[in-house]
Amino acid sequence: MILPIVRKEARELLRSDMVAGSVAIAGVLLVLAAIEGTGTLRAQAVERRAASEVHRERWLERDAVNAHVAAHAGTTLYRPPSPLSAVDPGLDRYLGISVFLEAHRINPFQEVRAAEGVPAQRLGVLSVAFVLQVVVPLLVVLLTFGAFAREREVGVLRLALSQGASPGRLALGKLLALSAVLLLAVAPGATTVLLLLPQAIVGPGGAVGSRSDLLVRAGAMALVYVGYLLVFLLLGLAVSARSRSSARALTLLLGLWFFQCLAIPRLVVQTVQEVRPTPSGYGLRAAIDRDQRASTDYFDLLEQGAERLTTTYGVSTAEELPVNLRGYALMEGEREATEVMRHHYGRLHAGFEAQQALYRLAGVVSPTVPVQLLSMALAGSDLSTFLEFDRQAEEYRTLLVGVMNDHDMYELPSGTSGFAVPQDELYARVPEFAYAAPRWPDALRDERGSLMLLLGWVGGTLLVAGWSVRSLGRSP
Amino acid sequence: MTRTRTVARLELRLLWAGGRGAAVAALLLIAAGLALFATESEVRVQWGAVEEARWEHEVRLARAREGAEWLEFPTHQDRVPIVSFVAPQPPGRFGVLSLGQRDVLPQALAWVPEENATHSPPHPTADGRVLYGLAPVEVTSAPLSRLLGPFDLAFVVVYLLPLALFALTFDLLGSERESGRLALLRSQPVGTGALVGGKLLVRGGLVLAAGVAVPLLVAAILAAGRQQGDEPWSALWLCSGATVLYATFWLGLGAWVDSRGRHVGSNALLLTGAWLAVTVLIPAVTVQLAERVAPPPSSVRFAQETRPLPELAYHEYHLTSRALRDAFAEAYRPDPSARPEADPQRRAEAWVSLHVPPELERRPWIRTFLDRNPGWSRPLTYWQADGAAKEAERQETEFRARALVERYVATRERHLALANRLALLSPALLLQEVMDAVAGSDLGRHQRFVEELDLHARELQQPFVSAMKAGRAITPDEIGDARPFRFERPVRWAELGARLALPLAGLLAFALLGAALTVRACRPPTV
Repeated sequence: MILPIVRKEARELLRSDMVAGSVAIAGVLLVLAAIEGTGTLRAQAVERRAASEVHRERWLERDAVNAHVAAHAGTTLYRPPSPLSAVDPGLDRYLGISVFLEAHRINPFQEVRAAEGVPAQRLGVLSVAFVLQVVVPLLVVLLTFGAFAREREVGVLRLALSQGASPGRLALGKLLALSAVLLLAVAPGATTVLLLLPQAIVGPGGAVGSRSDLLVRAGAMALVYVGYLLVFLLLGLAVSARSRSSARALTLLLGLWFFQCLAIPRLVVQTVQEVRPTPSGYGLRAAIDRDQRASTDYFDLLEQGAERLTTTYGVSTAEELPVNLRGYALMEGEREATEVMRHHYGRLHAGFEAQQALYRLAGVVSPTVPVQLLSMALAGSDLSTFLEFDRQAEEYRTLLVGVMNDHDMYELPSGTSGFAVPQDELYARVPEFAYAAPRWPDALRDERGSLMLLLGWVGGTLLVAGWSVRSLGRSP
Repeated sequence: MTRTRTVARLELRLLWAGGRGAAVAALLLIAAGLALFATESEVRVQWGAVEEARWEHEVRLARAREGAEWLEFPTHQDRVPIVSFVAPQPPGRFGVLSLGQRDVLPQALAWVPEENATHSPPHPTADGRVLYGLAPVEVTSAPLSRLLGPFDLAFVVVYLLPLALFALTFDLLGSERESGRLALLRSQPVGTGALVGGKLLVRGGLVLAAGVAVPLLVAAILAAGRQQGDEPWSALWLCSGATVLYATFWLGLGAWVDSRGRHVGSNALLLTGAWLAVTVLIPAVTVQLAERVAPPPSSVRFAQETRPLPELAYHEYHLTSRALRDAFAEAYRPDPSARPEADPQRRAEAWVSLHVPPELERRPWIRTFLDRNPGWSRPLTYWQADGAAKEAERQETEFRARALVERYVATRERHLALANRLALLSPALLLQEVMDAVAGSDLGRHQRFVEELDLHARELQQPFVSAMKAGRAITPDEIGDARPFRFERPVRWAELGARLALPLAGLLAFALLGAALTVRACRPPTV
């Protein structure tokens, strides 16, 4: 009974030049975005891995005057792109990709693509996620606004109901037909991703990530988008069922689309910055400088060290110490500087997370908000993944500087500078940085709220659509 | 003309009575109000940072003039106020119009010791820059805001204004046509031109008044209240003109689509499709196209190629510096009753006044520098020798990096030039460019900020350069009238006009297209 309705609806939809053209445009955009995304991913992965290897080599072959100078010359880490950033590049373009690690300082991430790019990128960057989040919902509006309203205008709806078709079956048939048409638009893009992504993540220099983790993330992402498009389909059917004219249904749906997909996210994120401001760049810098100025001076650290260490080791002068006093001062100085920097960066990052948590609340009025957050989290291009890399990079910096300072304090004879062991041997004590990308449960745990909101939208629109369709039986 | 006026008067009354006109105007006003409020707040915060930074620098300079700051050891003291400071970029006079690139570009730069700036790409400017370099300060805007883009007046005008125009034009004559009233109207002594013209005049005027005139007036009042910024007041006219050209295009398109005689629903869909293409899809595609055809330079590769250069030079400097310090330790005999570390001032004075042994002056790193840079007093003091070695390090780094920097800049210029040409495909991109430039939140102004800051810093350092060349200590008096950086060089109208000639020409072409479509729409419709 449902199948004839589905067939009839699908045929009618595709007969319309406007619908067929729009489906084709959306399909082409998705394919282009998929090709672009996977191509960029591969290029980025190869380039960043090569850069990481060069910096590692440079670290191992460094020729410095002493270990502390080597720690100042430092090294650079590159953030590897996650495989699904080919689908949703998320914040990748807006947060730096490399960080320079050195003694005493936590440096900001460098090489922010958005800062180097053209202003046009602020109006949109073509990606699979962008097309799915913004363009395809508009296609859904186009497909659904006339579903019941147009039939009501020409009297077909009353006729169909009078012949025994139940409103529920009619709606289900339309929903299935609309989904099938939507699938036609989405399938080429999804196929392109499936074909090209493996080439971007395997082979030398490919993006990192375990295969099973990738599969789960990809599957979850597909489900998220299915849910998202279902929300728009149900919303479209509900509005169409309740509208007296197709023009009114269209106006309302276009308005909803504009506000939910474009206006609300921007407006809310701007408001969130008002409610939970982060310090200005200057403010952050000034605060760090102030605290660092209040830190203990190097010469004072030497004096304090002499006092403390002579007591600890039971000797009468600094010259008799079995450890190097300069190494001690460097180590203490590093500890104080790190404490100050971590405190301020910790506050900044906590501010970013609080802003995101507030932004998430806007998911109550726009399904695009939770979908954006979930999509980025599953793609590994979100704030949490970035902060996790940042945390691991900072741990690595501490390790690197710690190895150099340990050498200076415990291996260098008292009152000397330079190297107690061959340089290459010392540098090799710092292991190569191995980034452990967060697994999918971590990504989903951070976005539990978004998941609940999306489920709420699916459930809510299902109820509204059911109620609207039932009312068709009473007043077609 | 009289008939057009009559139609306009009646149309205004009908539009108001129907509530649609009021609703659209109210929506635009609310959106513009929210946008202005949010951006004004950001502008205030940034101005606050600018004032605070200036104040702090002024205080430090005053302390230095009073002799309370330690001046003689610039290479190893990053707190000396004439060589080390942070300068936030002030927003433009009309910064409230558009946030533009402000939330993704570093909004403050620190002039810091060179060794702390080694992580930044080498800067192309060279002459006279001694010892120090520019480093970007952390970007602290919400990452999500960088991704989604700001809700500013530019967003309201570029995105919402066309939709508001469509809401009032998609059934310009369509509803009359569908209800059969159009035939009745045509039987009256009023031509299609007057009918369409009168309606467009009212509907376009209403949208422009609510979405452009009122917000720009508010922006002007806010700018007047602040009395800060460098853009000329006439820039606001430029912005208004560009917005009117933009609206003319959309108005013409709306009228033309309506005149094709389709169902009003189809009109709405067609117009929304056109809007989506112009404001969302074409910009997105042009970004990818520009990146494919003329790719921007790879910052990863650039950093990889340039990173070792300062390191190599620094290593050489460090060896020289070490030799100087060892010799200094031999030459400087502190008062046995006072530890040298406890008496940094005396040690610094010795560093500035004692001469280095001749063999050290003949070290290749120092000798080469002195050959290239005549005018230094001889024999060299330790301070001079160290400064010469440090300057040689910088010159060497810049010399080695020059070809790489030139290649990077040329590739970037090619990419930007193509992107600018591709922007001609979308009036939305063109208007955004104009609004960003008028608001002073574009890349061009940021680059100007960096260049002027660099110049200012070099001027500020001149007392050090002179003192170092002469081989004497710098005195507090020499700081003289050094002032904190002010980025407020007036921008001439002609300069702004020349910079925006291409986008304005593009917008004019789109407006002419809109006008042509309006003329076509004024032809007698199919009844």
